Amino acid sequence: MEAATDAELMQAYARGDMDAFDALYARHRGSLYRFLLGTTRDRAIAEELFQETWQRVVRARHAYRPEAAFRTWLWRIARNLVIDHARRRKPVVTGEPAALAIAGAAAPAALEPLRVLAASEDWSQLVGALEELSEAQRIAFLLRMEEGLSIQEIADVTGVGRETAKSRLRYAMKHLRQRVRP
Amino acid sequence: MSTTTPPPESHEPDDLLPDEADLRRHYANASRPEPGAELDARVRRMAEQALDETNGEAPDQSPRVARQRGHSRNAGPARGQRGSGRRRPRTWWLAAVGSVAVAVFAVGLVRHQHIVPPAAQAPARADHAPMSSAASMPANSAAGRALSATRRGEPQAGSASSGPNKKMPSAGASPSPIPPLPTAALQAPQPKPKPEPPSFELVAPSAKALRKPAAPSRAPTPPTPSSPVARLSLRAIPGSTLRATSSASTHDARTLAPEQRSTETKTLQHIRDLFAQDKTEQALDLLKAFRKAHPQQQLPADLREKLPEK
Repeated sequence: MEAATDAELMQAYARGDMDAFDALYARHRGSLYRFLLGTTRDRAIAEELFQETWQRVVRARHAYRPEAAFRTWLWRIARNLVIDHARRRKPVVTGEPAALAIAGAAAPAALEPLRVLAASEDWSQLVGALEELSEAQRIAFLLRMEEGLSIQEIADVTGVGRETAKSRLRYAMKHLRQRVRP
Repeated sequence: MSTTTPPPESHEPDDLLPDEADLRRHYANASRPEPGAELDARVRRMAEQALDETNGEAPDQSPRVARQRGHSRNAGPARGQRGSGRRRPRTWWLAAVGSVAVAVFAVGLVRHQHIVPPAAQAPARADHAPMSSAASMPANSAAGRALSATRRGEPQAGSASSGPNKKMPSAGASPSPIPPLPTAALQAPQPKPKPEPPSFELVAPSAKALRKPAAPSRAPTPPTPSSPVARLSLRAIPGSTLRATSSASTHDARTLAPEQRSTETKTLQHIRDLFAQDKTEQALDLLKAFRKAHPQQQLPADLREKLPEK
């Protein structure tokens, strides 16, 4: 199961294999959740969009074709949901409340408490810096950091040209490098 | 796009951008929030429910069973037969068989509609004359009328005296691939247009009427383009049997359409049935009414003898 590709897992799930879904979910749940948390800066919304993203995956399981990379497809769904939400949302929570909300999100239990605290501060600092980016730059950065997408894949997910994606990513990194402490 | 999507960790994107390595390190050190157990459970439940809906809650399709059977790539197709993929071919076959059955039924119905009228006429003709080859042409109602005329001993009008009609088919017969038989069959049965011109002659001059398509359901073999007589004969079919019976005194029986003859035959058969069921009074009433409505029609011998002498 571990060696199976995303596409194979997705096809197996479409045939009725629930374990395949479990494996697929385990593979992408963390990065997807952090991506949504980083883009929405609201835990409740992030959870709502997280669930909605998987719901769309489930609903489209029979229509999924392995010709399309699952990863790109999944992130495109998530990104579209973020954009849709951003268009209809009320003013975003920013600053300290946002950092607190994000820091309150569940962290891996394996981390020891002191490290969790430090890591949460780092994360909050990072999220605070992310807020200063435009949405497109933030999405590009999170796709790169969380899922390790290539520039071309980021371009595919966000529906822009490769150079545009690269430019957004470069700007985001430059800005964040200045804002977060070394 | 490839199906061999590597795990995220091993994915090596294009060249690192400036500051990317430091940021990656910083990002990796930061707390990495994850969805809570409740959220995981909600998503999993939703995915499971979707499968249950697809599988129709079949007991052998539970995820536990799937797990016991393993999840190798090779196991995929076998499992595929258990899930929704199994029902698809069944549904497909049902739809295909159903379509074929409907098509066969429709063809049979159409064939029946075309075959029954001549068959119904056969008993009425049997006591007069054998079927000729021309009578087997369903579209050629003129030929059918000629047969009716022949069996009543009436003169064959078209055979000798219908000069203009004789010329009509040959005038437009240039492209017709089957000129000999239809032309002969159509020329022979033309009724004599002396005392009362048949109704089709009234519409004959109208070019518009000629262009109008004949009723297709009554003509399985469409008349050849070079046989306007055939078109005229189709135009001459009256609308209903009732009208035909009311005008029977003025129109010769030769102008009756096959449907009318079929109706008459059925009526006579019904009268026979009534006699057979000892409903003599009802049968006689009906026979008298029939005789009154069709004074020109010669009754079959078995019914004639039932009729009281006037």
